[in-house]
Amino acid sequence: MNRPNNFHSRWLAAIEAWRLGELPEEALPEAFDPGFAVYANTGLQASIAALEANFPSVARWLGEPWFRPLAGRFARLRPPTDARLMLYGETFADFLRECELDSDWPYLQHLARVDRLWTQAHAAADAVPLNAARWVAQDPGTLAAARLHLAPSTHWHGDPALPLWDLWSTARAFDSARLAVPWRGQAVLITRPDDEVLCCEVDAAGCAFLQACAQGLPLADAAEAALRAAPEADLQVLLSTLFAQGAFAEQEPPPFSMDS
Amino acid sequence: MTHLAAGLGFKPSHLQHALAARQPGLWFEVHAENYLVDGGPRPRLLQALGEVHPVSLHGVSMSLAGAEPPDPAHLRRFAALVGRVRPVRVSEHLAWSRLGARYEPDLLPFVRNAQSLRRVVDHVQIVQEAIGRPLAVENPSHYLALAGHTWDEVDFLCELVLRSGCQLLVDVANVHLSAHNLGFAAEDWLDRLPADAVAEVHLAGHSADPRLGDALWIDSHDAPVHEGAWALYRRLMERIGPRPTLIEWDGPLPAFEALLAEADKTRRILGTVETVS
Repeated sequence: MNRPNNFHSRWLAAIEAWRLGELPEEALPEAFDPGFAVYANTGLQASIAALEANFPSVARWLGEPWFRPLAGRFARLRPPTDARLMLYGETFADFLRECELDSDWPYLQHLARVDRLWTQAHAAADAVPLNAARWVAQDPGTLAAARLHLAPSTHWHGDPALPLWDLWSTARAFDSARLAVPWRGQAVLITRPDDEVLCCEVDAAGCAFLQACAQGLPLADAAEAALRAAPEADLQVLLSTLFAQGAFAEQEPPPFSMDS
Repeated sequence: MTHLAAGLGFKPSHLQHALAARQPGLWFEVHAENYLVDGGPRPRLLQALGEVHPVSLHGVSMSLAGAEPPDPAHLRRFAALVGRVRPVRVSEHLAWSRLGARYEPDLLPFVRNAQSLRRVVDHVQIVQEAIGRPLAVENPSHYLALAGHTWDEVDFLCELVLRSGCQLLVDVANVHLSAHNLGFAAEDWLDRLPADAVAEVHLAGHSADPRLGDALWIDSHDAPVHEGAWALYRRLMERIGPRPTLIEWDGPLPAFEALLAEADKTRRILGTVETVS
């Protein structure tokens, strides 16, 4: 008699063993049926396809012959835990960092992190973008103490040693002409004021400013943080860019959840 | 009551065509998992579609035949989506895909016995309670004969309907394919279904296994519906009367017109049945 847990766990164990080409003799008898390959393959191929869709910059940078085996290895080691495959790959960037590829392509994990943030922005809760004109029109006496709330879709990621915006946007657009020479540290800002995810380069001052806003600091402190990060920063240009990208929300949004 | 004839699986790349389409009785099925997000374009896309056409929500991951009850977080999100979309139907599969924290993106088989029947009934009832309406349960495709069944698949489905109050979503293409793969008579399988329980029908194309060829058919949803499946479908409709029928086509996706042609064929058959019955 098949006990449920026994059957289900033995089935999954057989799938894992089949994928490694190491089916033990004591595996479920059905695992040796030619039809079992369909079950063993379908889930793996669905996981790989999801990673390919969720991490397009990594997939394009590596090319299919390199990406798919790598994605397959990740899928075997860290199979999905959530049925929403559009969110699969939460730890894919960490996996890329841990595997030996990192010595050849140290930016690969960062491309994956930005891809992941793009997905999070795409699926984030909606928020009404903060109206710049109305916000700056408030009493100058209160402006310095006012707090800017980040929209739920607002994310950024950078590395001081990598031209991440150039690398990532190049990979997304298949446009190698955009690669910066010489390399300089860059970050990517991702927002979604409406339906479309917007992406642009953001500098160290911008990252520091956004980080301060995320911590709930008032404008004066956020501006100070930005100037500490980059004393030459033009705060007016920075704020104008952030408003134009829809980085701020009218009201403080609930924490990011994807659990509606 | 909305008249539902032939439906199509909705693909975002076909949105504009879908919104413009005006075939009588046309409806669309969406996979719920693709819309379980906090916000953004996906929920709005679904809302736009729902304002023009009836929408059916189809789940692929509730794991009704799993060893454990449906994942509470997934069920909560699923029920919230049902509440927002107000679909004409909600459906899921007689299969499993989850064990503990592990989700396997496939519709896996299980041994049909008294124990698994009780479990599936419980799980269906949990889902129905959460969504406040009956669930239509779909028969999956089969690729091998599992040992140890003490319940035949049709009997199992009938008993499930009786005990849980669910409906049936009969995938005729799955019956056609499974009958080929496992060597049973598809006509007998379909002839034994109680007409009252069948709420909806699915049709899709299949492909031959790349390694085994025609010895094993794969439910690939990437081809026109096979003539054998059309014949079974016609036979079923003539017996039980017309039912809303979905054409599934997942990839490579043809032009929208090609999908409409399959839907037109379905509608013509349904029209014939309506005339006869």
